[in-house]
Amino acid sequence: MSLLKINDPLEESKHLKRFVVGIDFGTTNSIICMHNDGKFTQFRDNGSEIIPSTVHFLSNGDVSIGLDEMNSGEKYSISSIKRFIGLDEAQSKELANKYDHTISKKDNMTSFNVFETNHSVVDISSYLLKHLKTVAEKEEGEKIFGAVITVPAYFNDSQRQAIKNAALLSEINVLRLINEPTAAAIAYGLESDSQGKYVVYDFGGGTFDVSVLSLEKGIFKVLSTDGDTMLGGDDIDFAIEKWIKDSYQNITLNSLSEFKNVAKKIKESFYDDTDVVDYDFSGTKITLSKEKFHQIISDIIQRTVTIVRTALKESQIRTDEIKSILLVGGSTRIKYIKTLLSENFNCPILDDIDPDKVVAQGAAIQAEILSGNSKEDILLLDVLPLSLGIETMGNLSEKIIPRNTSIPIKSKKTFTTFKDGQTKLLIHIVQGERELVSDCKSLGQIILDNIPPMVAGMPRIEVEFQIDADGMLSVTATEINSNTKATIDIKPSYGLSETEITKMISDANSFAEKDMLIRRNSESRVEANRVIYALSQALENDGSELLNDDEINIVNDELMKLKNLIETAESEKIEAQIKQLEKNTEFYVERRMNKSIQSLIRGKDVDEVL
Amino acid sequence: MSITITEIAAKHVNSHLKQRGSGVGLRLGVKTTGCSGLGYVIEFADKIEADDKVFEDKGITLIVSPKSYVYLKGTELDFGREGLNEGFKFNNPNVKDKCGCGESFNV
Repeated sequence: MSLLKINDPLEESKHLKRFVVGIDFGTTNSIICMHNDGKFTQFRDNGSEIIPSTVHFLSNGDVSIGLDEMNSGEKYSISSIKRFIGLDEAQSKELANKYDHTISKKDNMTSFNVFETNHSVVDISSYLLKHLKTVAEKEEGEKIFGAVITVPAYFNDSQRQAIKNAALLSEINVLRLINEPTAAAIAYGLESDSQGKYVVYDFGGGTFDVSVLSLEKGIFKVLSTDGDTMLGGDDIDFAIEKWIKDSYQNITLNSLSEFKNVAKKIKESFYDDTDVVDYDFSGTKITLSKEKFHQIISDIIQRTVTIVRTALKESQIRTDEIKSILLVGGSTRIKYIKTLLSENFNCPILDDIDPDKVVAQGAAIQAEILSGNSKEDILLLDVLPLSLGIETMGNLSEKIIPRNTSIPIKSKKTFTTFKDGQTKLLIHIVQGERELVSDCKSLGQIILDNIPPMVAGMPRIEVEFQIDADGMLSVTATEINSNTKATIDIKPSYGLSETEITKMISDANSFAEKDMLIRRNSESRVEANRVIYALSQALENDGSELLNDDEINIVNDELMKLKNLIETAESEKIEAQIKQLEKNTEFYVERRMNKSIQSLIRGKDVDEVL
Repeated sequence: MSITITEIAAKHVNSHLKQRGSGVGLRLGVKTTGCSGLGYVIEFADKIEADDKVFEDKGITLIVSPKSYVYLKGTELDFGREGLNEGFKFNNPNVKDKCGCGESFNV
């Protein structure tokens, strides 16, 4: 008997708490955020939660990220790297020309030539991610266990793979990539509704994206996406800038960027419902009324409304089906946008969460859930409500994953055949706490075919249960020697309500005693059958060769005794008879053993055998 | 049938509980493990569930879930030393076989 120590569940849960983050990897800015005990922490770089997605290469080979603080030395900056991900060669060239970058191909990827070194799009993305990681790890004083990274809903598989590769290079363990609009919906806690259709209106600094989401059974599906990659808050700044230049021609500014800053400040003043903005600029008073401001930006906002309509049309959703519109991106702070949206679509506008941080926060929540840190009531998505297992001989349920295991999880057990030369195995997947398969819920079955014929007990059949974060179960059975496989995918939480689950668990407790007896009964019968089968096979093979008639009678006698007990006797009697049989037929087993050893060593040198 | 604890085991549990500073008792249980079916679990308990079976012995509160109870009926929790190791042992009258490694058992 091994000696045991006392486990402390408190210590375990403390230990299990992993440092996980959500990363909003944006075109213009990025945010890295953690959700812990219901609180969000955005990690700061140079005091700012919003970290510019800009990489500065210095002539001495150094790379710095984010805010441009170093003015000394020659420097080459690349921003908006996300725009380059997944573009083909011609598109990349066109975009690179616009930003004045020289590009070429490296490892079949677009790469930038900076100070005679090539940096691919994935490399540069990885510098940014690495920087975000460092910022968070420095502040938290702990290594990041994993991250959820957001990507635009329209990203295809290769674009997503590029982000994963960049994460790999920056040594970030990607728990999952999720769509930006989905992250926003999670931040607003929309997944706790049972269903609905939502529009995510993402108006950032340089891009506009709209996604139509459908929520079904707690899982978001993107129905359609649309947008304009060259339309953003910057365009509003330009429009204001142009207006200032046209209306106040006597103003001369020192630099272009000064104009831009003024325009931006004026825009920000209209975030609330201000009537008139007065701005004193080196002696000249600029006055902009609300009506005039609306007029200036009206074209831009109208364009976004048209794009929303197109997206709705594409997903075949009527305006009155929209449950709400979620606002994402700093530019959506402009009050006029909210007014126009509710006028056009006549539904609630969700804007309580900081639109700059909402995506990162949703990703952080998702990361917390995926890591198993969260103990909240996201029962069906977070932990397994009932044990999952397979049926074994004797109508017994063998649990492969116990209930309350947090998902995603992978677990496997090895099984074998019961009969000699068995080539098929039926794997019956069941859910529930009870010992008998008939008291559990059947989820499905697969047949593992083409098992090479072998003696019972020889094949090694590995049954692997894998549950992904959405609760999808896939069962794979593999015969190890021949690598024969069979697979099935099942949605385990389907069809069971909360009350049914509770009942199944309480049944398991109240029937515990009965179930244990049944299990024991069944196990002893299975064992008896196995012994009878093995012994009969042996008799058939070499019984007449190794035994005389009297001895055969002894063996047959013991066999009969056991056979008679199987149907009706209690398990104790069966077990006792198995023991007795084993004792009384020991001589036969010994002779078989000797025979097989003899046949192994016959005709061989002593050296070979030893 | 109740579940009991030996004098020496109670002494050790007491000092562990004192060191930990919190907890309502000790939870004993079984889980499927090892090569012969079932294995023992022993952990601090911070909460007694509604359908738990609770036993008091030598000043220690022993908590067992109904599902584990059927496998542990009449068990005595003991403490022992084997060579350099020391730890808790289950003297369980329900046990029929133990596996070679001693980690799991059959009823």
